Amino acid sequence: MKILELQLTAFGPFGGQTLDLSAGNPGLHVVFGPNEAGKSSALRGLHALLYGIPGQTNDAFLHPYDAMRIGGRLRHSRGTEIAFARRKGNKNTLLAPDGTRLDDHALDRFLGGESAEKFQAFWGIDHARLVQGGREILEGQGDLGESLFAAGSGASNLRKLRSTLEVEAAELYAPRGQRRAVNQGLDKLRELRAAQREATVSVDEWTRCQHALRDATEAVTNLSTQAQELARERSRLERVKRILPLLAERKGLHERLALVADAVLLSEDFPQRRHQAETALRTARQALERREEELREQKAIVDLLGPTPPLVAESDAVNQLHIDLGRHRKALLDRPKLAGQRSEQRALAKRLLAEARPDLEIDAAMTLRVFVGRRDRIRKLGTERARLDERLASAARDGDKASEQEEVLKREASELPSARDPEPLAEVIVEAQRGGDAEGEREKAVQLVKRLTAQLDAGIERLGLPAPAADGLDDLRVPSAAAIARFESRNKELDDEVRTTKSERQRLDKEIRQLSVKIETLHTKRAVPTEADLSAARTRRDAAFELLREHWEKSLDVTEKARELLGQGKLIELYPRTVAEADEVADRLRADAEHVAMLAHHLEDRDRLGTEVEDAEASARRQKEQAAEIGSQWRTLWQPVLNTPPSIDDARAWRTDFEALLERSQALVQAREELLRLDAWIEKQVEGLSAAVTALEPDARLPARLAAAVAAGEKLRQRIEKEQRARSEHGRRTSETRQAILDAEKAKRAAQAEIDEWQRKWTEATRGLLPGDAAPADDVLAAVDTVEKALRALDEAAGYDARIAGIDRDAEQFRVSARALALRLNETLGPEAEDHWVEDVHNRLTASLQLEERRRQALSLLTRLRAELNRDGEAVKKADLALVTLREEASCGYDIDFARDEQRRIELRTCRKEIERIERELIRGGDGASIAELESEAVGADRDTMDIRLGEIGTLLVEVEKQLTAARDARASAQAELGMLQGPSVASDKAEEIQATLAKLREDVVTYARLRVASALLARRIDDYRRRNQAPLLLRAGAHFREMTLGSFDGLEADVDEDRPILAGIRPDGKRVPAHGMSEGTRDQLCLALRLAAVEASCATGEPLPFIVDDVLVQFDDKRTAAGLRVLANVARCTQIVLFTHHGHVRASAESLAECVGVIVHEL
Amino acid sequence: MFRFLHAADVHLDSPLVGLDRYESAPIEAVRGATRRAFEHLVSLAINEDVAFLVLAGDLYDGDWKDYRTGLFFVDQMGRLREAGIPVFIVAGNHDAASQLTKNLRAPDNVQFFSAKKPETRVVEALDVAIHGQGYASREVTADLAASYPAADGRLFHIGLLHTSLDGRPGHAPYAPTSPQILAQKGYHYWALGHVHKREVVSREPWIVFPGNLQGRHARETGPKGCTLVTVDNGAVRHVEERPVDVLRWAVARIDADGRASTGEVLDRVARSIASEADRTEGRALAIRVEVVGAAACHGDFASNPEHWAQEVRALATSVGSADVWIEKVRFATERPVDLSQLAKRDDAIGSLVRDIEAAAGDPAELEALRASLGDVRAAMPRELLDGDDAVDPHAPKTLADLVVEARELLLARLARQGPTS
Repeated sequence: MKILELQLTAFGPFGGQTLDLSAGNPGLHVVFGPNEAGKSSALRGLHALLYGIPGQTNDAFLHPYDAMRIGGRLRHSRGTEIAFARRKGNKNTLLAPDGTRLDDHALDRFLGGESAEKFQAFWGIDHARLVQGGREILEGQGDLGESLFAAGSGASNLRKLRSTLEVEAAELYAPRGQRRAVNQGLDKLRELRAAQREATVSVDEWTRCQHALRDATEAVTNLSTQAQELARERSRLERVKRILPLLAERKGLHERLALVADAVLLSEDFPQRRHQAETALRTARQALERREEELREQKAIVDLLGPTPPLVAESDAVNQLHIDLGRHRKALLDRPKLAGQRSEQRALAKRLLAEARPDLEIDAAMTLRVFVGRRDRIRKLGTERARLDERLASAARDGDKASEQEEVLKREASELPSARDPEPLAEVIVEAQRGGDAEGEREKAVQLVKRLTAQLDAGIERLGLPAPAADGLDDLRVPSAAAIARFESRNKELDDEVRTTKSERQRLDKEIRQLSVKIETLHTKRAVPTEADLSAARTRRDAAFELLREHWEKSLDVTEKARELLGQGKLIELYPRTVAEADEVADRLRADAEHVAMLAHHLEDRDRLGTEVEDAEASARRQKEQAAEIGSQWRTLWQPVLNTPPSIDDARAWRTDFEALLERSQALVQAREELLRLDAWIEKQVEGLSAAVTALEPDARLPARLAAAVAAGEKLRQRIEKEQRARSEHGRRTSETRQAILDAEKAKRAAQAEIDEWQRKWTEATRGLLPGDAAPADDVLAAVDTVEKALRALDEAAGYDARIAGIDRDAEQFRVSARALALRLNETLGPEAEDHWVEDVHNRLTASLQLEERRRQALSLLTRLRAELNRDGEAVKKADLALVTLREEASCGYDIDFARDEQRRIELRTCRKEIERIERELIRGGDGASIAELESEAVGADRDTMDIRLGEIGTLLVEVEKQLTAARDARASAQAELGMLQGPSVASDKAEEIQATLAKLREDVVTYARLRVASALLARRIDDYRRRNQAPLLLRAGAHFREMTLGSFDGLEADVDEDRPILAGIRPDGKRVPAHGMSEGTRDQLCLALRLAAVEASCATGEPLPFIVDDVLVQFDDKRTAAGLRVLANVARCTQIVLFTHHGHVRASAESLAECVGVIVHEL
Repeated sequence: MFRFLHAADVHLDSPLVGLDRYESAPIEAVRGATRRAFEHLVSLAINEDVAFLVLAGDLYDGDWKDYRTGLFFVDQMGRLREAGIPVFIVAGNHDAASQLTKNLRAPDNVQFFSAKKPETRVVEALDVAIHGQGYASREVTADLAASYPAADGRLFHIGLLHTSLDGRPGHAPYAPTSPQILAQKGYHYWALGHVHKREVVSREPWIVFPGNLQGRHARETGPKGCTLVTVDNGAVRHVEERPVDVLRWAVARIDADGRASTGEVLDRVARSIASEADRTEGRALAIRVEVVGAAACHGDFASNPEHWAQEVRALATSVGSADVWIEKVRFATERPVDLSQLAKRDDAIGSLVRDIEAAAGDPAELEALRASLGDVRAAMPRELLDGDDAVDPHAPKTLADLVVEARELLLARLARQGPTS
């Protein structure tokens, strides 16, 4: 799959930018985005395009979630294409270009089944992951399997993952671990099981406890019974011992009692009661007699008072009349005063009416009452009229003012300038301003041309180029970098040789010098003969002998020869000397054999060195010739460019300078073009402006400079706009004034209509109040007030009339009532005597009522005395009856003496009391037994043996009590034990805990097993992968590595270190460098090489996906950056590679490679 | 008119299974759950003033020996005795093996049926005949019901039986019989026990499994309790399920579909837990959370399931009205991209997937994986090696599951960049 286009429609900082990635086949695309340009957002956008926008994203700071969009076009390796957009969401995030929904799986085929994580891991790499990969190689000691697997999976954490799996598993379980979760769980499980067993109450245990309780309970019961029996026996004996004397005493008393058994026994208080009864009878009788006397006296008093007179029966009527008499008398006094007030009011009414309506009689005044009812309405209408008048006047004033304003506006209209359209001018100005500070730009361009020209000239001069070269730099046949490199290489080789030769020569000279010193030293010590010396001595000796022999045998004259050979002297004398000298040399040679040998050695060395010096000199000569030849070729090479070429060493720098110069020359051409463009543009704008201004003001002249022309144009435009605004304002005011005139007219009409309505209401309200029709409002109001006052006076007069009539009626009623009463009392009245008679009869009634009160009190006392007399009679009867009862109680009639047999009765009582006391004691001391039971218990009791038995029982009882206490303790402990066994089940709590522990253990074991299996699977798969892919991957990665390391390594191979395969680089000389022994930078390159090889391999077996690279070359130097780009371009033949970078040098490098390796550079 | 209560499978003091006691787990809320559920049953009988209570077997777990449990039972029966409520009990397979049943002396309101032959107890005052036979041994394979006497047409007949009927999944086939055989007896109500899931097998006649009183593990979900039966005029008028459980079990399946983030999935989990918790009517809730579906966040869960399980547990403390205990969190999500797609490619991941696939069928590979586990199996307790929730790592099924989980873990962690967490 290839990404043809990435549209950053609304994502991160982008709003509509598009990256066209369609070029190349599939091609290496370098996307350059300097800092803040959104490089990282674009990278994330690319991923989001393919796999969706993440739920949480930092790229929504500009566009809200629902507006986020990324679009793109993809092409499958088989040629099909898809264009789509991606929105944010969980589902249905793919949209067709027309906005319709695409299937969520529409991209699956294009993505070749790769998941988002896998894509991110394998089909992309950034610097951090590269470094991490390099570090992993180091930590893994260059493990081959891991390195290949990491490259093949894209995992940068493989080693860490392996160790994490092991550590996590080991934290859970270790065979002899103690603090591991599983081990702890197992320990806890053992403890809990033991605790559960401990806490379980078995049936047997329970049964045993119950039996123990039962036995103890039985023992307690038996011993208790035994103790109770003993106690009972002891108690019985003690009781018998206690009651025996009492029984004897009781028996004696019964015998005494038998003697007085026939006596009647009266109660102790009998004499006292008898005495009280007799006294009571006596007192009652005396009281009765007194009461009868009082009754008689009271009856006499009542008779004396006589019957009630008839006047008392009429007391209410008399009292009412007496009250009415007072009121009657006062009314007769008030009547004349009221008559006077009535006359005054009528006179006032008449006067007032005469003021308002002299035409009316007073009796007709009531017809005016209707206006009093309308008073408020009339008053309100009167006030309303003033307001209406004011409103009419105000409307008229407004109308006048608006009319005046209209006149003024008409005059102003004639003074306004005519309308002009500023729009064409505005457009021209905007167009001119769109270019920004074009003249400033032009000035900059001029300066740039100048500067570049100067720099170029200086550069040309510095480089020694002919002066006219400035415009023909491109055509100069400057030697290529390769050629220079070739010369450099040759020159360097030659230099190296010269240097070698020179140093060799120096070494030889030095050695020769040293040898000479040594030889000299040997000679200096004691001239050491050499073999040559010996040979010479011997030759001389032999020559002398030969001369001698010739002289002897042939008698030849050998003198001359001898002198020549041996010097002056006779031969016969010289010969022995030569013999002696030869012998001496031979002797010395023998004696100084070591020195001789050394000397011989030194001499031999010196000869050898001599030969070497000659060789060196020959080499030097040859090198000189070569240098001359190189120099000649060098000059020939440079001939077309320079007469005097730079030295070979300086050539590279010269060429770099020349390239810079070339760049400047190109920049100069561009700057000049820019200058021309700006000039043309400015001219066009000035012309446009001038035309637009002239169209508006034919006489206007614009300045030549664009900025000034724009300013003048702008000023004119503003002026025209100001005129437009003034015209518009005037129009607005005119229409407002017209509206004001219309409004005033309308208000006037409305006010007049209201006044008409008012008039109608006013007439209706006041008609008939005053004679005539058009009385002023104030007069009308005054008339209403006057009429109201007159009517009020008439009302008051009528009130007095009523009161006088009431007084007359009451006086008549009083008289009729008095005469009716007199008739009822059978009394006669003279005419007009009612007042006095009522006074008299009231006085008489008062006297009669006082007598009546005294009679009522006397009768009440009489009634009370009669009741008391009855009660006294009853008391006498009751006292009689009490005495009769007492006699019956004493069984004697009235004639028997109460004091008879008094002694017998005392005896009888005394015996009985004593017997009762003794029996009470018996019962108290008899422990609840009845007296009969006590008597039977005491029968046959032997006082003498009783104490002995009591002692025995006491001893037994102590023993039984002791046993009982022990039995009770046993029972209590059995109960306690049983109690312990009851209650909540501890065992079930433990069972719950066991299950909880098992649950945790289960999870931990599963987790442990999962981690161990994962670890084992991973280890085996890494090895499998290595075995299968080692050869092809190493071959391919080796090639990339060679190129990236600029040949520093020749390739990659598998090596073995302590029986494990490791990764090693091969130097050109065949030397192996283990991967973990490489420098950090080289390891990074190794990682990249491996990854690229894996990507190539993956492309061969499945749909190739774009490989996204994020600034991995950042740490490479320039040469290696170029090499890296070459390698990426190479891989980009099998799948598209998109390299994001914000480093200028990477971009520059990419641009320089654009043509030769097909890199496409984009800028964000 | 009278009412009676029908309950079965009390399994007093039987522990709750599978509840790992993590830090914030509501331990106190569920302590002694089976006891408290039984107390609720007894209280219900008293409050509803039922005529009698029938218990259709399995009062205790067979291997449970703590006599305190028996005493607790006697104590509760004492409460019913005071309320004048008789209790009729048949022994089930668990009771037959229980020492507690053999040795317990219950109050005189409790009547156990014979294990040798069917017996009939008549409640004279109500004209009710109750027929029953207990288990003499743990494994009763005969059809006990076949020997029950036929109804005489005069009384209201209840058959009390501990049976698997014609077979119920997950339950041993004890005292097998069929609804037809039961129907032939002419009884009005068959009070059955043994099957822990409530089921009304038939209404003519009524054949009812009330289910157990208290769910004890994640497979026993939903309300648990007894059956309240109203009888009027010699016929069943009303059959009502009455929950008495203390802790409710539930399984929440959460679909983590599409591009939902882990946070969104956790939100869904929280909502699901809260919804289940609201249904417990104030009881504690033990819930198993299963996250399923093809999800973008599959890798997150697969790479460290324990971490996410902790997250879910932490959630549970803050949602819902009830005490919530997360029994287990199972991440069964699937990768959004088909595994076979991954395997197609000849890169390291592709070959990893293919090789793991091949390894799952290769005895030598599996042996090597077993060996990689060391001696952990030997150390594991018996409960974890067999039973329904067994995790014997040497068992083929478990090992196959482990290989799949390990594969997903590896794929997820390999896809992560930077140091693994």
